[in-house]
Amino acid sequence: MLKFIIKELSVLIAFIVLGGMLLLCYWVSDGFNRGILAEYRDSKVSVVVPPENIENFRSMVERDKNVVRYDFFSSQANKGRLGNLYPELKNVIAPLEERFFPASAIVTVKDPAVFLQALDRQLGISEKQIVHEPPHKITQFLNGLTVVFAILWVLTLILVLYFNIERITALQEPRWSLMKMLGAKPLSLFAPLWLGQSLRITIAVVFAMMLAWFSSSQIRTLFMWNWTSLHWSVWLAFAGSALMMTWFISYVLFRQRFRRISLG
Amino acid sequence: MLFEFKRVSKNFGIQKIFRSLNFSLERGTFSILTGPSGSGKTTLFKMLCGIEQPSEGEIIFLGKKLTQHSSTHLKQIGLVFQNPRGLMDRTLFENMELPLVIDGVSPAEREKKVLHWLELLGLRPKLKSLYAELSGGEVQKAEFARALIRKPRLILADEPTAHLDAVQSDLLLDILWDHYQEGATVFISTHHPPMFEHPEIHRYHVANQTVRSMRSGKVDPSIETNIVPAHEESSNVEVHH
Repeated sequence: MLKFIIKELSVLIAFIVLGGMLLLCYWVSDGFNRGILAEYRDSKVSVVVPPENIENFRSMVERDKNVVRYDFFSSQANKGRLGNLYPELKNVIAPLEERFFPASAIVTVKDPAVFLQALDRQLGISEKQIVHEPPHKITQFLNGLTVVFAILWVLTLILVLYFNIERITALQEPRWSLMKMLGAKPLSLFAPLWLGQSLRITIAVVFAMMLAWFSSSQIRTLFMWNWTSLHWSVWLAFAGSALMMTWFISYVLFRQRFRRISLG
Repeated sequence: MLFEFKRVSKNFGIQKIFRSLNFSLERGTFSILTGPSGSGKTTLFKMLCGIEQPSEGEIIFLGKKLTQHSSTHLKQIGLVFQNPRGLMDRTLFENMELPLVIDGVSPAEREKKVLHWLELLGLRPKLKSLYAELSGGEVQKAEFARALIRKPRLILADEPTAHLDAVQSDLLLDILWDHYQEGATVFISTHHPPMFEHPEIHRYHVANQTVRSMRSGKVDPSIETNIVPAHEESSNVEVHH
């Protein structure tokens, strides 16, 4: 019996820690999406615009709903920008005619691939490149990490409930066996178990939320940034989903175990 | 037809208990199964109520395969086993009322029925005793009463009188007979066959991996691996070669 309790307790601690990590990871991921990603969520594309296409280009970017904004630099403006960028060459650049300097644009777009295709297809412009992309990799990493923690958390929940059912079975087997022989429905035996299970999981979930809250407050003090708190619905969904899964998993486990109990 | 065994074989490892057994049990009969210890009487009972699965063949209960019935079909069967199945840490009363609790009977009605049975079997003074504190005979009577308290349609009793004296045994058999008279099907196994005779009682003998119908207390060699009520033998018997 002690072996069962030790197993159960260690898995329960893992469940609390992983639950806390899941919430924390979700919080970081959510903060990142709302903060950095919201600020730099669009891509920037640099385009060299041939003189004969300037008007077409302007009308295209003004019509395109994919374009958030654009900054257009004429040949003259680019000549000046180049001179400003390399002051030591200003005297060399100044006498050159403007036709040697191309017009260009920095276009902020939602979907760079679509925009580049449109440039090719509509204007035949080939001199273009993406100069900035939002940090999708970090977002993917954080989302992936959240999913991994969620999977591990569910697995530990299954283990917690499995060990619990095994311990209860060892205690209740004679009773269940007799009740089964007398034709009792599994649900009537499961109902009292469900109350105990949900109480234990609720306590564990509260501990996990406290752990997440404490860890997030430490991160706030360590990394000064505009962190936003998790919405209350996230906490509620976390607790609610834990209880729902507890009911479902423990009932499935109980049914499996009850089926193997001999009659009488 | 209440029960039908179709070419049922049962093995435990290499040990063969039954071989291609065809067996049918009609509703509303009173049957006694005899046989030496270890001949398979208890195994037959366990297969009847679904505790043991046949190694081969199938068992039909009320027109459906036994495995297709939900566990609640057991509510229609009163089971009495050789060994006590009660909850040792509960009182006699609590053990007795369990079937009624499962059926959702009201507490007042439960108390009335349990007290009736305790009175009938002379167990009233032990009402609040823990099950573990009862003697072997008292436990046997309690198990018997618990099996019959909901008036099941089928009573399967494996050695129900094993730990009882002659007077108590007769009392239990009388109760079983009363249930039979009220329409229940009764099937008892014992290695001490009751002394009383009645033309309506069907006797069967289990030995050598098969079950034989008996007439006048002797094995009828013409009937093999088939059990049918004596008065219907001519129409139901299937002889296997």
